[in-house]
Amino acid sequence: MSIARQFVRQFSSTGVVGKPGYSTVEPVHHLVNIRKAALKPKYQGLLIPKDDIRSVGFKPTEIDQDRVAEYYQNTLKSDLLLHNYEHGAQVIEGEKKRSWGTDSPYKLYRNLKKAKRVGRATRDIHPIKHDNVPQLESIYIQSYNKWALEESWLNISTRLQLSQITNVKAKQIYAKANILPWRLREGKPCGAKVEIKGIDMSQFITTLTELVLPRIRTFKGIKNTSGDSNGNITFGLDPDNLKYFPEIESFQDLFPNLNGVHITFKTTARTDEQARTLLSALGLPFYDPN
Amino acid sequence: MRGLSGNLSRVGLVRAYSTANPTVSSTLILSRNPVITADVPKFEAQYYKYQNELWRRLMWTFPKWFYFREGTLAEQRFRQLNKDPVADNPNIEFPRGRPQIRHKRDRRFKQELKLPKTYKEADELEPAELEQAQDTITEDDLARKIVPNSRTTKADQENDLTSLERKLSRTLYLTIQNGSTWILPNFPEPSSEQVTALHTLAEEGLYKIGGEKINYFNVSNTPCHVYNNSKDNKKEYFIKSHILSGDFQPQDKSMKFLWLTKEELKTHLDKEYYQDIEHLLSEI
Amino acid sequence: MFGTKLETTASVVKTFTRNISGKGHVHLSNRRVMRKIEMGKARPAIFYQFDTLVELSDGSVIRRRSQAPKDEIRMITDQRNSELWNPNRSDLFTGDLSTGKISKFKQRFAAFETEPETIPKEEVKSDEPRAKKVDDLIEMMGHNAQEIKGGVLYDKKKNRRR
Repeated sequence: MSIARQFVRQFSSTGVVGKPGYSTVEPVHHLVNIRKAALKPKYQGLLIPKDDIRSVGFKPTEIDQDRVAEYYQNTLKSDLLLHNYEHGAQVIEGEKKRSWGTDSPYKLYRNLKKAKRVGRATRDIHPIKHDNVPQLESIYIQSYNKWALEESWLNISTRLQLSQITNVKAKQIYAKANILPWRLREGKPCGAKVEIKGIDMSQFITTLTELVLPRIRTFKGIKNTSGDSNGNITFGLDPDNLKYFPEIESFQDLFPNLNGVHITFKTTARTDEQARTLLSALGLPFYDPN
Repeated sequence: MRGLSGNLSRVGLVRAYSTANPTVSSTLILSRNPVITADVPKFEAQYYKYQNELWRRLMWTFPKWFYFREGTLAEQRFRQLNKDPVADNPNIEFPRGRPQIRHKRDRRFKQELKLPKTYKEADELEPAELEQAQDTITEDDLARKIVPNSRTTKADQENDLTSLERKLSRTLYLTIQNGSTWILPNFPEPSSEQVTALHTLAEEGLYKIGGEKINYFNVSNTPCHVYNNSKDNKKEYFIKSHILSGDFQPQDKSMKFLWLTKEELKTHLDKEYYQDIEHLLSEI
Repeated sequence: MFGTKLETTASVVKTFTRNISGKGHVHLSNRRVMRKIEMGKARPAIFYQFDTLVELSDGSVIRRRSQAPKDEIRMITDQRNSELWNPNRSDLFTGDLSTGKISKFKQRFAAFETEPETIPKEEVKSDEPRAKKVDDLIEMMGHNAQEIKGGVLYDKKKNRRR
């Protein structure tokens, strides 16, 4: 290789002066991920963010006073900060990927060892301070309809029921596995899912806690054991209980084939207990299944 | 509201501590959370109205075919209330713009619909029915029009500061008169030998002065603030609680108590005392 | 209304009622091939929503956005009426126990009611139910039957031939 002679890649071939020999043109790598579609004049509209009114996909979010968000901001947040306060709390380190050591040069660039215990790296649990008070981020509602594998028109009714109870357009769920006895094939539509945030989420919580859950006779609360150990709590609703939603209740004959749902509350809480405290403060009861 | 950093970040407040052993005491911040939604300031109200109008303009057309089936009574009533828009005719000149009708809706404007009422209004009732309605006051009649209660209560009009029903959209704090000054209720420990938890002190003290008919919720056993009372040589640890239901009934007839909002506390409490605790109080 | 029948694994036949939201009735669009939406030209999905006033059982009024065309709703049972959400109130009715089929039967044949056996929870241990079962069997065996006490119960799993 020749001695490093830095040639800057020019768009024109004039102006490059150097010794005779083979020229080494340093390749210019794209350091920035360019979305070529966005550079096309036709797609200029895509560059405008969705919350900007000039964008075609602008959707107004702050359309009314959000009483759940205001309750959280004015009362709950400071209460949770005090409730979760621990004197002398330290960061609880999670399991991380470990280095093989630095004694051998072969070990230096080896892929890191699996984390202890679980194998998957877990995150650190920080003590709760004013900047990381647990907050409800979004609600994810999923309805897997196994009958829809045979009667494909049921996908429409499942999507419809979710859109009616949340006011947000539901998306299609596709099967991820191939299980022949259940007629499951990968990519086959089999249900619906929807993620709600902001004012829609607040309204969904109030609907659940004020109108729907109190009318379910056998509802004792969400199980204490529910949670994915990362602060996300899930519970389910049967199709007979779904009819208590006001939209479905008033027009029951329009929803002959209701499908049960799984409702997941995604919070910024680091542990399940903190998430349960937050949710119970928002009006969801919990019980001990044992 | 600020965090629990307390006095450390503030400049200029120097406390002289006495060398003798101060008595440990527990102060109770008993607050009543707002009962109704907060009052919306003018600017926020205008902003919400503007965003709401945009939302209504961008809304999809109402799927009348799904909810009101052809030939049913409900559909007839709906049609009577919502007439179809004027169709486009190439021979006619439209001074306000040519209508663009899609699924019986003019897409140039937001769709405004009137719904058949589920209740009967007074002017729609026939005279015989009207008389009947006036005679028999049926409170449980599901066909009545929903009239929300007023946001100001009787206690607001009378300015009854001891009532919990006053200022439903604000947070109220319990204050007790101590001699000539108003303070938040404070309960010193009975003796330095007998060690009691601060939250137990607060609870027992509260029931002693206010009666047993108080249903309250204690946020945490950990105090949220400490006030060094150099005058009385005691340390006051603040326990935060909320009153959920019930009433504060003073056991001692001579005791004066008030439920006050944050601004009212500013006028009633000692200036130095208020400055120390104002970060604990809610603006709403 | 038509119905389709599907055999399930538990041989329970599930019927689907088809009406307006059934097969052949739902048309997401009148076009046979849905119109292609260009990239960047998609409009936000905002369903038509009404501002509905909901009055709860204690008189509080809520305004909520709903797609169903109802202007006002009155609730009879809800959170303010519920025992689970108001544990400290004694005046709330703990559920109408006289509307179910079992309770109706009990009401009609109250004359034949026998006192149900109540076993206190602390006394019931793990070996108790087993002992009761054995006693029932002995009764059925006959007069000369004698209960064999002692020995180890046969453990199927441990003794299975591999």
